[in-house]
Amino acid sequence: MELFNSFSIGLSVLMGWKPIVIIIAGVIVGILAGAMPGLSPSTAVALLVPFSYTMEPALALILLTSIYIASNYGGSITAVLINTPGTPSAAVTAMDGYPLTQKGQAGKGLGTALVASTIGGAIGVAILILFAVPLARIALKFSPADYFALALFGLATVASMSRGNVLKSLVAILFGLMIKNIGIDPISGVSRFTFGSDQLYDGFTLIPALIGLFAVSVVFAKMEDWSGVARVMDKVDNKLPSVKEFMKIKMTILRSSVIGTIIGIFPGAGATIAAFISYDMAKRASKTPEEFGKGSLEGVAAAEGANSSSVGGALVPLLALGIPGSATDAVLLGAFMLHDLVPGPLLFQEHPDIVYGIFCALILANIIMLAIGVYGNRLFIKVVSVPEAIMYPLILAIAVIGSFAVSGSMFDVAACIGFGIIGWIFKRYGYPVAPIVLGIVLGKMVEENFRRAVMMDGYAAFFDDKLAFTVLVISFLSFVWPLYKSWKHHKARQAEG
Amino acid sequence: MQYFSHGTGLAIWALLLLTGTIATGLTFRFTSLRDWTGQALVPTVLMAMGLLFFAITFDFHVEQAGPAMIPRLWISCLVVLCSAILFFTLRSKADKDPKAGRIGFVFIGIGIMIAYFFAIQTLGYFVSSFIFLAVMMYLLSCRKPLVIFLVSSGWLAFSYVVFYKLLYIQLPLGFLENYF
Repeated sequence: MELFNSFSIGLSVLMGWKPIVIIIAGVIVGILAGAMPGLSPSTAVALLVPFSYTMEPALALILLTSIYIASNYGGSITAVLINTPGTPSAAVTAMDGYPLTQKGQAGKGLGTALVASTIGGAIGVAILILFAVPLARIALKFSPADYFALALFGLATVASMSRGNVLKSLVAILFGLMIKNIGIDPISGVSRFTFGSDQLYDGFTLIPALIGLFAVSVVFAKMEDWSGVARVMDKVDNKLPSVKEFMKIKMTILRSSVIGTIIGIFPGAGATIAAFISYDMAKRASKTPEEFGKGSLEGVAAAEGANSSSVGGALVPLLALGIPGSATDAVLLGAFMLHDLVPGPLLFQEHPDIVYGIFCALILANIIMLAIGVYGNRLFIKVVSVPEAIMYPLILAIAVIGSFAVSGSMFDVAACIGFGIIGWIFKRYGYPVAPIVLGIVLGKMVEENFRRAVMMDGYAAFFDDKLAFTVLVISFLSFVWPLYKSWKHHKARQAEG
Repeated sequence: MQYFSHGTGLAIWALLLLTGTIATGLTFRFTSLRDWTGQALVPTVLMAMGLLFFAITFDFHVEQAGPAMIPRLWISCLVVLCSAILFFTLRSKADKDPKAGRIGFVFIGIGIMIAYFFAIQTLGYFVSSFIFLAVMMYLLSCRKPLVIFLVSSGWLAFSYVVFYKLLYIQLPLGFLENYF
């Protein structure tokens, strides 16, 4: 009954033309951003946050989450048509989507991706509701030591699940955490590392830093690889799978969606890992595994079902605990903060309209995505074909005005450019950028809860509290295990000569 | 260590760290390790930054769970991990520097961004944005004057309506202040 009441509050947020227009706009922007190679969902959400800051908080967050959910489908458009994934997770979609295009069945590939994304997205949201609500209730009883342990666990899994060099991921996290230390200490009020600058008293504003790291750095990186060759794509309409084809892939979609959501819940795992694991499992379970990699509809469905459903999963720790599970969630957390909202268990009690409004909007966004996906493909392909020589300067212009808009300060613009340069250098030398953002976002939570726990109960707080102790042990193993694996791999390589 | 946490002491410490960083860069650049210069410089710069911040923490008052505690913890971990990266770079020589693409192109782009930043404060947002977009598009080999003009003015119209009129963002107007 309580859930029903809460949903009626959520539905009331969606009443009227404004929320519907916002969801439609979010879905269109999300699909377009996802379809543009180089623009990740986190970049799209970061660039759009400043547009939302004068909106009512519920509507602003509905816009951003709609972009988030639609961008995963958007990534499949260029993956299927030109073998260039719009988002990292769409790389798995391209494995079977592009062979379909080569066979002249691009429309079917896109249609299958759309159906799988819609069903996957819906299942992800359903599981989000089932998990987040009880988890938020339990989280109300958490102590500062528990929160510290959970935040550390979030950071540990991000490092352990990152692709590439684990040491570099850890360094990126620590760099983010160190950046977060700049400004007035939240507990003692001491000014730290501000070098006498008034503008650094509150530290770096989150949104300009995110825009710099996610959007400006991408443009700089693209400029370094600049070839000036334009993308050429055929205009293709979506062709939904027939009933017979759908019956063949329905179990694949269902399985991938559940796997995708569960993987999405773990901080750091994200859509790409979910898509790879689901693809592998779909291949093992398939009656025709030999078709995988040659244009299998099951392959496309597995990848898209998983990456879209992972959005719902990733929102579980963000909404219930205030711990972002992915880079896009970190940006969303920034958007919450911009509207003076703190995600976590109290949000469910104090702002049920926002939480349940987001739940309802996500369900609606999936349905709208299906409709727009079927009829809007030609338009998307046209927009995505805009030359990069026009798109990249516009991204920089949006980044500058977006950074300025947050607090009307040119210092934020300078910070955005500075973080853009840092992000480009980090990427260039193999340091991932997302852990920096998670470090910046989780830094305050980690520090405040650690110090509060020590001040209340001394260091014993982390040993006496069973949950905190268990999570800390797991976090420690999450830090150490990948380092050990990396060391073993290094040894093996040395032995090979 | 208190001496190095502020004033002249801090300046000397910063100078020492800068010298160390430059020396590391030069050592890699002008020896057989030149292909790893960037890979060595990134952790060195981060370490130097960490050590600079570490010195500053001695200026914070001392108490249990005080303001210096967490920064010191992060910095210590950062220095250890950066040292490990440096060690592995030297020992296994695994990750070479990426091949330099059009790096000059990026520096020009960064230069234009910085010029844009200063131009906003003097010429105002609208004039400087028009020039910025036109220059960037030209730099990225868009050679159609009409397209450049339409995109730049289209963006100005969009930002004027959305940010200036709808969102009430007080964009710097520069010399156009009297006309708005």
